[in-house]
Amino acid sequence: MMLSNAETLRYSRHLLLSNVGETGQLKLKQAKVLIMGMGGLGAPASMYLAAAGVGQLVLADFDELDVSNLQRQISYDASQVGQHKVDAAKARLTGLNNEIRIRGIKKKMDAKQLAMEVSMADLVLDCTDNLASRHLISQVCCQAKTPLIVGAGIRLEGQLMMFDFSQPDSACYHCLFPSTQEQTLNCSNSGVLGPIVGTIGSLQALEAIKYLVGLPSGIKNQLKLFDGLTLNWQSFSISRDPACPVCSVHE
Amino acid sequence: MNKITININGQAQQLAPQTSVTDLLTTLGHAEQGMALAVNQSIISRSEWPDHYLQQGDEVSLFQAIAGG
Ligand SMILES: [Zn+2]
Repeated sequence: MMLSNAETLRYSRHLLLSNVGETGQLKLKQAKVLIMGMGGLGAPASMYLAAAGVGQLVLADFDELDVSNLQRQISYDASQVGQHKVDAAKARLTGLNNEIRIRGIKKKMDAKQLAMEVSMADLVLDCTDNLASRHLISQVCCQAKTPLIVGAGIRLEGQLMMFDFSQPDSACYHCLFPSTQEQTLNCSNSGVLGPIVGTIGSLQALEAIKYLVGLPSGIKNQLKLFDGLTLNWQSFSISRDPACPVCSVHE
Repeated sequence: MNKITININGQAQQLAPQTSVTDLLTTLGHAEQGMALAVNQSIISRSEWPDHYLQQGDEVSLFQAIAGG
């Protein structure tokens, strides 16, 4: 496979990078990424991945665009309020890059459907807004051995981590946060500054591109905490919990 | 009895020797739900909390899962 002339022009800034180049660009073109959640994280993450030429994007979200989303979900337009987010996002991303394929899933997936979608993806981005989805996505990715990049943001704080389930030693989301009890902290009741989710969503895209072109991750089995007040980052290593019911049972 | 000093989210705290992570959270009155805890930048798995004893000078970080996005 080769890049077309149009692609060579479009991705010229990638082709200049020694650690991407034509080989890396072709890997991006052949990649399929599933983005779970098209809110404040999924909006910038999907735009960067579409712009970068990831060949297939699957966008999953069952919400419709609300006017209160526009404060941070920057891929949407005021005229799209009331539309399904995945339809609005698809229009935006197709306008950005019509060389890639974009599919939307606008109904809530059960575990079985999610497992099917995850097994067809090379990489999953967790951009959701609730703990139940986060646990389910991690569990399904772990079973399918599909790498997962998790982002989260609230108030002025962000969290970022990657679990490379293609590796046998990977920890999982449950190892870190075993409680499935829904937390009260979400964007609807606690508030969030747009650039917090913008920062974390952009870094999810960065890590996704790095993973797809074969560069080592800076966050594998690590949790990064971002403090939007001081702009300080903290890093913690995550080890697999030998007692984890999710990642340590099916050895 | 001797005490040890640790740091919790940057605040110094005195503890009895042989204090486990579980003991610490009980002392602090923290609900365990949704919390993660790291000692010296390594996450301590929930299953290890009862048997992980804190040492003089440990840097303890305690934080909550963030669900928002
Ligand atoms: Zn686990």
